[in-house]
Amino acid sequence: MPNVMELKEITKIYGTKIQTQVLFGINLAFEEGSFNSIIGQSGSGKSTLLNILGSLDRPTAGDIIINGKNTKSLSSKELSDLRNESIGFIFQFHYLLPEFTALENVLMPYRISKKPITKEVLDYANELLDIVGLTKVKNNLAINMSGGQQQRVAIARSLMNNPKIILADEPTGNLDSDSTEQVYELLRKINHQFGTTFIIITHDRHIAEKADRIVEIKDGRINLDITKANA
Amino acid sequence: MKLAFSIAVRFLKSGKIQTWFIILGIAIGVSVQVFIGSLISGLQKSLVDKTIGNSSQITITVPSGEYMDDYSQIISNLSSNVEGIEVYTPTITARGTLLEGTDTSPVVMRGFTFETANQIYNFEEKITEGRMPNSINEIVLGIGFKESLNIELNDQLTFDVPTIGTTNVIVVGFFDFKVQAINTAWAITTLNTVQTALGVGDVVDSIESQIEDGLIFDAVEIAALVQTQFVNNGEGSPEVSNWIDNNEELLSGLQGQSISSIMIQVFVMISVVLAIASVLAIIVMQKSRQIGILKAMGIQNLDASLIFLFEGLILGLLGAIFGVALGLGLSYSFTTFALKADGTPVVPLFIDPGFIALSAAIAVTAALGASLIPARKSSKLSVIEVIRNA
Amino acid sequence: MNSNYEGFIKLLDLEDKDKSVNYALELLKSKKVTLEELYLDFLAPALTTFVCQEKEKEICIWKEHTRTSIIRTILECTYPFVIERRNEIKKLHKKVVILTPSEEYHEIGAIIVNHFFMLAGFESQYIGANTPKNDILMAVKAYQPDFVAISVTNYYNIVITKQITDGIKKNYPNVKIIVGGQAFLQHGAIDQISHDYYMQKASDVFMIAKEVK
Ligand code: B12
Ligand SMILES: Nc1ncnc2c1ncn2[C@@H]1O[C@H](COP(=O)(O)OP(=O)(O)OP(=O)(O)O)[C@@H](O)[C@H]1O
Ligand SMILES: [Mg+2]
Repeated sequence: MPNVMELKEITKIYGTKIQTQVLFGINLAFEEGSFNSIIGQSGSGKSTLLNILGSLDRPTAGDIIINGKNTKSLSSKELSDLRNESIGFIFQFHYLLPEFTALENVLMPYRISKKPITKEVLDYANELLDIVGLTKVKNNLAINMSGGQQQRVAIARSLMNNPKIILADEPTGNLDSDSTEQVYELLRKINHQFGTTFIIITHDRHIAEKADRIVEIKDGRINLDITKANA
Repeated sequence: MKLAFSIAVRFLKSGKIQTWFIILGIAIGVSVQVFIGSLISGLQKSLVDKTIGNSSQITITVPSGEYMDDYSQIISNLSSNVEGIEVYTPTITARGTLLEGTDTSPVVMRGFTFETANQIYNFEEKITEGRMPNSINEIVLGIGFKESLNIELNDQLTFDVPTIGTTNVIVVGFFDFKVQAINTAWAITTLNTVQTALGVGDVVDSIESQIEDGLIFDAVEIAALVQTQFVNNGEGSPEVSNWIDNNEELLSGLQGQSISSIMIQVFVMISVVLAIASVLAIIVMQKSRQIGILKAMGIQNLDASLIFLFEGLILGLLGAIFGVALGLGLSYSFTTFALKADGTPVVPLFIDPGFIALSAAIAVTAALGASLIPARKSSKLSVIEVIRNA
Repeated sequence: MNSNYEGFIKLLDLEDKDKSVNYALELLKSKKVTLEELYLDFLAPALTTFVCQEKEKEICIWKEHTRTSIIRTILECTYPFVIERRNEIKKLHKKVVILTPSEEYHEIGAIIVNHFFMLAGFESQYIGANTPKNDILMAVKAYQPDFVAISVTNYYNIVITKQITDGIKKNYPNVKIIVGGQAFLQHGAIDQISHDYYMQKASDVFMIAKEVK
C-alpha cells in the first residue's frame, strides 16, 4: 500500500524567548487504509504531532507530505482546501458547532467546500448519521445531545467529504467504556468499508491494542513503532 | 458569502438576548441621534422663521432721497435672471408724525403692493382688528399706537411729513407683529398713499424679497447675484443687503448650536461604534472555538472574517431600523404631548428624511466599521490556539 | 502428531478435567513423553491451536477458559517431576526471575518457561503475571538475579515491556534480559526493545544454559 501521509525530520519548537522543543526530528509514514494509534505520556507531543499532520500547525522544520504533496509549497488557502477535502478531524472534546443541529454539523464540511447541496449529498449525510446510530436525534441542536452522541456526530462529520485520512485526538477521551467500544467498532467499520486511513491518539489501551500499528511518542521522539504481524 | 451569512445569522440567533441587547444599544443611539437632530433643527428652523420669516431677506434700496421709477421693470428683470427668489415686492417709506388732537407719535409709514407683500409679511394674519387698507389714505396701525395716540378704529388722523406737508389718513385696522419695535412704529398702507404723502409719482425706494425655502442660508450669494444684475445694466447701482449680514449675532448663535448638535451626534455615534466594536470583539472571543472548528474543517480566512462583517451589518441594519422607528416615535410623542397652552408644540420638531437616512446610514457604517476589527481577528485566528485552549 | 496427543485433545474437547489431568500425568509417569514433550507438544498446542467453532462463538470464551484451567492444573501438577529432574542435574548457580508485565494475564507460557529454566539447572523464580514495573525493579533488587525473563503475549504490552527493560538496563546494567512470547512476532517489535536474548521457543533456554556453563 502507498503512503498517504509522510513526515520527514519534523521538528517543533514552541516560543521565541523561552524555547521549548517539543518534537525532535520525527520521521513517520502512514500507509493508505491503515489503522494507527499514537500513544504516549501526557505532554509527550502527541497532539502537537497530530496537529502538524493535519496542517493545523506548522512545524519549525521538516516536511509533511500529504497525498504526495509537500505542504510547504501550499498557500494557506490551498491548505484550507486540502484540509477540507482530504482530512477529517475528530477532536477530543468533539468540537461541534453548538448553534447547529447534528445534521447541519455533519453537512458543514461539505458546505465549506462551497458545492451545492444536492439531494444525494443530503442523503449521504443522513446515511452517515444512520451509520453512527443517530437517526432519531439528527435534528437536535448539538448542545442538546449527550457526550457520546456528540462524539458520534463528530465522527459522521469527519467522514462527510469522504476524506482519505481521519485524524482523531482522543476520540473517546470522555466516553464510558461501552461507548468507547461502540466508537471504536464504528471507526473500524469505516476503515474497512471506505479504506479510510485512521491516525488516532489514545490513552485507551483497548483502542490502542486493536490498532494495526502502535506508535509511542516519548519526549518528542518516537520511542516505539510496532505493526501487528497479521495486519 | 452565503455560507458566511448563514453562519452569521445562526450565531446571532443562538445568542438571542445578547443580540437584542446590541440591537437595542444601537437603536437607542440612533434614536437619540434622530431625536436630537430633529429637535435642534426644529429649534433652529423656528428661530430663523421667527426672526426672518416675516421680513425681507434680500432688500434693494436706493440712497435716501432718491427713488426708483422703473421698479416694475427691475423686478421682472430680476425674476427672470436671478434664481432662488420666491417673491419681490416694491415698497416706499415715509417717516413723519401722526397727530390725533394733541397727541403725537412718530411713525414709519410703509407703502406696499399687498398681492406680493402679503407673501412676505402675511399681513392678513396679523390683523387683530379691522381690515387691510384697500383705497388711498387708509392705513393699518401697530397696536402700540392704540395707547400712545389713544385712538380707535375708523379714527381720522393727520400724517405730517416734515418739509413736505400733511395728509389725512383713516385707521381701518390694527396689526400685531409680536415685535414691540414694529407694533409701536409702523403704519401700513398702499404704495399710492405714501407716494401721495411724499408728493412723488409712481416710484419706490426699495424692493424687498423672500428667498425660496431651502435657500435661506444662501442669502449672501443670491444677494451678490442680484447686485451683478445692476452692474450689468449699467444703472446707478442701488444697495443690496441680505438678512445674513444684518443678523450676524443670530447666525453665530445658530452656528454654535449646530456645532454643539454635531458634537452631540458625533459622541453618540462614537459610543455606538465603541459599544458595537466591543460587543463584537466579545462575540469573536466567544465564537473563537467555533471559528477554530470551521478553520480546521477548511473554511477560508475570508469567509471566516465575512461572518463577523455580516454580523455587524445585520446588527447595524436592525439597530438602525429600530432606532429610526424609536426616534420618530419619540419625536412624535414629544410633539403630541409636550404642548403649549395654545396647543402648539413647545418645540416644533423638524423631521428631515434625508437627515434620518443619514443617521441610519452612519449607524450601519459604524456597525460595519466596528466589525472590521473582529473580522480581522477572526481571519487571523490560528486554529491551533483555539483547539489547544478550548 | 502422535496418537497420545489426539487422545489428550479428545478428553479436552469433552472438557473432562479429571481424565485429562490423569491422562497427562500417566504419560509422564510411564515415561511415554518427557516433560519437555508434554509442555511443548501437548499443553502449548492445546491452547494455541484452540479455535472456536463458528456456531459456538458465544460460549467459546468459556470453553477457552475451561481449557486453560485444565492445562494450568496439569502444568502445576508436573512440578514434582520438575523437582525430580532438577535434582539429577548439575546446578548452574545462576538466578533467573520470570514474569509477565503489568496488564499481561497470559502466563501459561511464562510458567512453562520457568520450568524449562529449572530443567536447565537455573535457580529460577516465577514472580507472577501482571507485574507492575516498580515491583519488577524491586524484585530484581531483592533477588539479584543474573537473568530476567519476560514473557509478553499481547502486542500492546510491548509498550510497557520497553519501559521495564529500559528501567532494568539503566538501574541494573549487569542483569541480562531474556524476552519471548507471541507479542514479538509483531513486525519490528523486538528491535526496539533492549534485550540480551530473544527466544521464541521455551527449549531455547538450554542454549543459554550451555552458554553460561
Ligand atoms: C489462554 C488464553 C487467554 C487466557 C489466559 C489465561 C492465563 N492465565 O494465561 C485468558 C482467557 C485470560 C485470555 C485473555 C485475553 N486474551 Co487471550 N488467549 C489465550 C490463548 C487461547 C492461549 C494462550 C496460551 O496460554 N498459549 C499457550 C502458551 C504456552 O503459548 P505461548 O504463550 O505462546 O508461549 C510459548 C512461546 O510463545 C514461548 N514463550 C512465551 N513466553 C516466553 C518467554 C521467554 C523468555 C521465552 C524464552 C519463551 C517464551 O514459550 C511458550 C511455549 O512454547 C491465546 C491463543 C493463542 N493463539 O495463543 C489467546 C490470545 C493470546 N489472547 C488474545 C487476546 C486478545 C486476549 C484478550 C486481550 C481479550 C480477549 N479477547 O479475551 C485477553 C487479554 C488479557 C490480558 N490483559 O492479558 C489474543 C492476543 C492477540 C494480540 N493482541 O496479540 C490471542 C492470540 C487470541 C487471538 N488470536 O485473538 N487469553
Ligand atoms: N503553545 C505552546 N507553547 C509552549 N509549549 C507548548 C505549547 N503547546 C504545547 N506545548 C508543550 O508541548 C508539549 C507537548 O504538548 P502536546 O499537547 O503535544 O502533548 P500531548 O502528548 O498531546 O499531551 P496530552 O496527552 O496531555 O494531550 C507539552 O510539554 C506542552 O507543554
Ligand atoms: Mg494531547
